[in-house]
Amino acid sequence: MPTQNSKSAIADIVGHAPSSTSTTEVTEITERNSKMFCLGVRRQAFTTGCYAHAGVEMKYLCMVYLEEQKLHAVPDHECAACGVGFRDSGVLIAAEALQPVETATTVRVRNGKVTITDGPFAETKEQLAGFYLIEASDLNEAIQMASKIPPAREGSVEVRPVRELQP
Amino acid sequence: MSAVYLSESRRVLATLIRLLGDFDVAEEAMHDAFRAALEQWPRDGVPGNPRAWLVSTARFKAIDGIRRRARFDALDDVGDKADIAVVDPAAWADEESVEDDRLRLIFTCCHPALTPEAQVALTLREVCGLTTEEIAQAFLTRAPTLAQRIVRAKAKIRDARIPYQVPSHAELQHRLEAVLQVIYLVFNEGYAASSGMLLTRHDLSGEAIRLGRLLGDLLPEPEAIGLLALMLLHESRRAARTSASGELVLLQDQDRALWNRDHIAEGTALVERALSSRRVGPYTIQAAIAAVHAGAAAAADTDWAEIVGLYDVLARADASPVIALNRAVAVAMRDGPAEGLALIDAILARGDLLDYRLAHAARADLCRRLGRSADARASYERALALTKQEPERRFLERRLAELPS
Repeated sequence: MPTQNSKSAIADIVGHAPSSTSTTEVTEITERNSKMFCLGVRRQAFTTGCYAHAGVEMKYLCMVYLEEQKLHAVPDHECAACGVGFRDSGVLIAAEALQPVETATTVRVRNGKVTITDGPFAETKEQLAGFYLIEASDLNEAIQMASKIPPAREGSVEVRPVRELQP
Repeated sequence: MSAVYLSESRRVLATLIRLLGDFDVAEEAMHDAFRAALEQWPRDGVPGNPRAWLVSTARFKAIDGIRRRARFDALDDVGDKADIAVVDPAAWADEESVEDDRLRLIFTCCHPALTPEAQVALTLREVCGLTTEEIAQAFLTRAPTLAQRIVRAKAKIRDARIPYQVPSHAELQHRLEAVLQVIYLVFNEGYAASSGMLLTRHDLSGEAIRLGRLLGDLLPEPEAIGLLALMLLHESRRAARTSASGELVLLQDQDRALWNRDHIAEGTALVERALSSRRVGPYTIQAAIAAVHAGAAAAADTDWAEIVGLYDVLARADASPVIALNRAVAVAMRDGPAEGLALIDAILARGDLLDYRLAHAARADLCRRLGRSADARASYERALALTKQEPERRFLERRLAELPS
């Protein structure tokens, strides 16, 4: 398991785009969203939480899946900017893009013997193209972040909670 | 006591889930509290505020349980849980936060990260308080299958941490749609069932209307009001939809004296209220169409021009071929069967609705009225091949037999 204090070091690998671009982008999205719909005035404290684990952050792995021909449909700098945006808002633990699935090797250990096969574990139309490991207070927040990952508009992003290993 | 259970158990549960942070812990604690009430109330008298008594008793039972288990658990873990349970009593004492809890429960059960089947099952179980067996029976599913669906949904809520909250303003529109869809799904399941062979199925339509009322009270958004209106207006025709022998009766042939006037009055008033919001959505428009039908004293008095106009608005909001089909039928009533038939043939030519029984049934009916018996026969046969409901089958067979050969 990666330790949490490696957060910023790993995040540094992600991006090189100027951070101002990404922050503007995020601000725009928030503004647009808030204009979308307006509820009556009765309750202000709607989303002020009250769940048992309030305050305790959770880790989610956002896995980006893309069809092979769409692997480069989103320019790299956009994905990098997204990572920088996440890092600047303090939610990013790690993010990387992956080489195409042809470079994958699958490793299994059976009866103590290591078996190595060429290619991915599962043959699917979409392949794992990259990931963002983020921190969020709950699934809604994680979904919000995942929806800002640029390749979400070309392929899909699977959001998976991280399981803490039992001692 | 059973009256208190009926009126309070869902509210108590909704608040306990918030206080205890877990569906199963909350449910167990609630049952412990009702058990305690069963012992103490007959002896000591019913407390002034039964709901607050139940919530606080359940909370203490849950903390007790956590403390008892504490001996076996790691200490820091217990510390967390105990802190959670000891919250400000004011948080559950006031009416508004209790009502908010009910809304939180609805939005959590209808979270789009759960499958639609799970959303429906969980809503009926947790919000409506139906038993697993009742839900299974209503949906013609085996009880163990349904129980497993609910267990899985609760596990996902816990493990993926679906929050117990009403969505933020930005997400509300989209999330409300999911809730309305669950309610309408429940309603339609019950509505179709009433014309099927299984009259013993749980009254799902009634349950959906109760849910619709609850949502309309808690969150009076125009589309929530529109959906409630739509369900009431459909429900108003229930008695007229089937004959004494269980045969399907079409809208135009229904005995309008059998329509439920109270439902119609309430539904129509709700449509007007939703329309006046000027944020009109598809449920409201469909309700307005149903209200036009309800307002006609006889089938011949139906204002088809108005209905076509409403379908035009609906089609702009939602380009679904089913809406286009309904619009075509309305056009046929306004302008004549030939005009309607041309529209239906255009829909089918696009490859839409080729497997939709009602498209073929509607086409058959228009061909019949135009005297094109051979075409009518082919379409009735196609509709028959696609239909699964017994009364509908008998209806189509009857129509087929009436065609001149």
